[in-house]
Amino acid sequence: MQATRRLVISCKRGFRELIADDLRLLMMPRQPKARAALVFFGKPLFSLIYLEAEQASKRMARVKFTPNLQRFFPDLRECQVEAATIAEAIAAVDARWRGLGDYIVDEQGALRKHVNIFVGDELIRDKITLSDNVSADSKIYIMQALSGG
Amino acid sequence: MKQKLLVGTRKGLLILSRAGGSSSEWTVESVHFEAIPVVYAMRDPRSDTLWVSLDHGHWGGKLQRSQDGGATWQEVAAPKYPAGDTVPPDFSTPAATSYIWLVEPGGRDEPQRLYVGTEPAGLFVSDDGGDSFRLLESLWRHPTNTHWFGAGRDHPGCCSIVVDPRDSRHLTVGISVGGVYVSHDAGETWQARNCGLYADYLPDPHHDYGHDPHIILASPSNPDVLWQQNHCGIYRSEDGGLQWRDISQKDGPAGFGFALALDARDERVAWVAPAVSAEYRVPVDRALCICRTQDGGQSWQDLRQGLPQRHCFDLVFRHALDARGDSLVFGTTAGNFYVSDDRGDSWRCIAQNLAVVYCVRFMP
Repeated sequence: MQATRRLVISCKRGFRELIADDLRLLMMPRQPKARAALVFFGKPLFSLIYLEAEQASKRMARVKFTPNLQRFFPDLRECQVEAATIAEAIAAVDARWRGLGDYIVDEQGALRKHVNIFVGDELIRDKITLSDNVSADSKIYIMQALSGG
Repeated sequence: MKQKLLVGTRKGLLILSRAGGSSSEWTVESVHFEAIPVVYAMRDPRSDTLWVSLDHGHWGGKLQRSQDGGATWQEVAAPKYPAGDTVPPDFSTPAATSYIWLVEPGGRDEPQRLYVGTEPAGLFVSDDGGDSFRLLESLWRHPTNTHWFGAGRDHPGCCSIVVDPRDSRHLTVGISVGGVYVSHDAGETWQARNCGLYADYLPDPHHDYGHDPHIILASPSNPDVLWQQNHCGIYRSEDGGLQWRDISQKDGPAGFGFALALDARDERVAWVAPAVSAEYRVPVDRALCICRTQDGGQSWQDLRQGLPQRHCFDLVFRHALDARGDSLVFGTTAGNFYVSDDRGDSWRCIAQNLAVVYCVRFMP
């Protein structure tokens, strides 16, 4: 994983901002905050610092589910996943509750006809490939559409 | 001996039972999947496994099985179409299982084999007792699939699967809308078998493809005898579908409909549940009747005793009529459930106010 955006750095040497392209990151994925052993080539000496990636390519998002899904996945609960897109978020929750993804999307990855996904208050736009981006601290809501009878 | 029935409704599965024979009455023994549409239910006699197809309005079609008579259920992975596949005839819609029409056991000599028919019109097969399914691509990609299309539902569906009890490699399936297809090599190759069928909705009603068999069954006592309740009438074949003959009643109700049941011992006997027409889907004269032929479709009798004969709007869906010995059962779209123990001569209502009945099956 490689960050490509401007990074906010908290470090021992007083750097506040660095351009990611100047960095070679040895990221440790799946951490709540991306911590990295960072080797900075702008100096003749290697400096080992820690950083927080404000806009890393993968973001942590909270996922909340309609309670109706608990009928099929009794231990389903709100969770945090690492994902850059909604599709990645669905894959992440499916890895945690095996088979859950099949309840949300079909085998081609398209959102099921009567399921809605919101990011914040907004319905996602791409219901075919679920490519909508997940922004920092996104709250993803997986809900039933108001249909049926 | 205790008899049991599986009744799949829009609001769940009911298991009915009676102590045995016609002297006792059916009662609801248990309810499963409450509030979930149960499209199809059957018992696989080879393994004593119950199978149900669920149509979650929100969460997609699912398969469940029970190996303890319904005490506990296990979800198994539903059949899936290959990535990137699209639906005939225009191939613009991604192919995804939207409805699981039925589950059918393979032959007695292949105890791990099961077939599943879906919307869109794929036939899936399992060789591990239902743990996994694969698409029989030879049928799905049949060069005639440009003549398939949806009717009633969005896409064509595989609604009938007949496994020849004499030869498990001999399969007959019905695509609605598409027609009849036969394989003699366990699904590796397929031939259309629509000669004699008439489709009044096609520019050429006698076309080789594009017919609409709502349901196809084979007579148990002579599996060369095939019957179908078609969108455009009732048909019978005595040669495994090579030639179909229209046996619709010329001056009576037996014509349009969905459901069909056959007598296990007599290849000349069948029952259907008529409605007026495709455009007018109500019972003929708003009076419910079951029609029976005892001579291979040369003549039909209306069986009405005990059935409502006025202000009736009940239809019988394609899997909602079944026969076992002298007993017949059917459930309706209006949530009524009827039983006969004299081959349809008289009926009695044993349940009302059910949800729409999709499927009724005797448990062998």
